[in-house]
Amino acid sequence: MTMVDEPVAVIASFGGRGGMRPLRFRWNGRVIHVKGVTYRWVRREGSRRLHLFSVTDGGTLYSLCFDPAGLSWRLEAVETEI
Amino acid sequence: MRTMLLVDMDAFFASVEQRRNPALRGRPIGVIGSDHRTVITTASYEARRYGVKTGMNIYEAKRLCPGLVLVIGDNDRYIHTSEALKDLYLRYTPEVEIYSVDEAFLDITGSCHLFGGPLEVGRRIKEEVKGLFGINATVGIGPNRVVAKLAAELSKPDGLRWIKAEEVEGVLADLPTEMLWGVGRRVSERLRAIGITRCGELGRAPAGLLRARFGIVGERLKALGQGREPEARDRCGEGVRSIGHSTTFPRDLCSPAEMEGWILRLSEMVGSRARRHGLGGRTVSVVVRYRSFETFSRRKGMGQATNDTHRIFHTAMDILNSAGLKEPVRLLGVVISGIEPVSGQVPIFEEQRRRAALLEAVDGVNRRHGPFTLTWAPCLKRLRKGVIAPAWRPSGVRRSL
Ligand SMILES: [Mg+2]
Repeated sequence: MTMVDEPVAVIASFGGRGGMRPLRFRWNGRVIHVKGVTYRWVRREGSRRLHLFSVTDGGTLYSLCFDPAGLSWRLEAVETEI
Repeated sequence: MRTMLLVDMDAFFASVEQRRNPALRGRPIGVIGSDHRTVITTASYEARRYGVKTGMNIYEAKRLCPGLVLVIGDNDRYIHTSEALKDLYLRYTPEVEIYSVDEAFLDITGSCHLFGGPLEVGRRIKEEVKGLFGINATVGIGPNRVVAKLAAELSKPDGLRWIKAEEVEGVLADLPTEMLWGVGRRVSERLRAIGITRCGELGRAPAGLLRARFGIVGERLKALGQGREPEARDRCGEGVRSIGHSTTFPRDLCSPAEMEGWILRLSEMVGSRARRHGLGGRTVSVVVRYRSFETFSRRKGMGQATNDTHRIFHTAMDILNSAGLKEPVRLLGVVISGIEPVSGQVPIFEEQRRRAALLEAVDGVNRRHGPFTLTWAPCLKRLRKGVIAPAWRPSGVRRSL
């Protein structure tokens, strides 16, 4: 697992059966298409609630973190699926 | 007659990790607490097939299962999932008791007819858990929690079993005593010494004999052997017996001085939880687990019941300093017992008043902004998280067994 922790631009959809989900994001000059959200959870930091998404593009697993207070996304980590 | 249902996630931490990383599905994995930890917290069922178990060190595990993949766990994921599971259970009954991070008892006595009966409730919950989180749960149902737990034990993984009241005796008759909830290997060995190996035999054993050998626990054992819930378990409204927290360190620690920050952190967790409920304890116990998993606890009285973090901390440190640690320590726990209400007391001395006001202010900030937002300086060194103990629960105070 490689820790990244960089702000990223994300296109996400809201509502529908699965709730909010990231669809694609730009990282390292590349657009990464999300094939699936494998897990989602919440991390509390003080009064902040950060929403985490493990997403796959088919070969690599990315951890995306959405901060509802700042309406911003960060890419936290990248893992090559073994 | 009550109907109790136990939901128990199969290999919880490992199942969550296998969902999160599709490449891990179907493979033997072991979840560890941090990259410094060498002990398996949870093994996936694929790994269990090779004999890999909770508590085993990674070298032994790798020897048994060379293809084992080690995965560092993440508390946030498990806590979030556990809380979401509780919300799901509450749709079936308001009587939900979170027993551990991955086990909950649901009293469905009054509500199961709304869903087509006990088995149907179990089937639906399993299906919903699978749909929401992609993980398997085992459901055990019985006339009380002891039997529900047994039904789950007998049918996991991915099991669903209902042991009806009239079937209890037959199921228990030939079952080894160590299958019973709360009867460990050591107790089973002592039972074997008096010729008892099966639950049926335990249930029929003379109460006097069991009392002579096991003291008051003897009556509990007899009840368990009959598939009854011992008195103390049949609570509902019964008072809290103890409040405690424990933690496994990212790496084993050797001296009480190294453990100081952790003890303070645990004391604060215990103290703040007690304060939230207006309770205090008269006795502090420290639980120590060595690297070898040998575990013991020592207790010390505090005179008056208290929930002051520092009183708990100093008493716990006294205990630790006089314990004469013989091995590196992997886990510590701090527990207060002799619980009684303390909220009504008005402090007489200025010093006490100031302390009470300080604690109230700290608690107020932390309620609003999250635990440990405002905390004692030595706790700041301890922000690195380990994997929580399976006995963790999301809220409320722990009831004793
Ligand atoms: Mg489980």
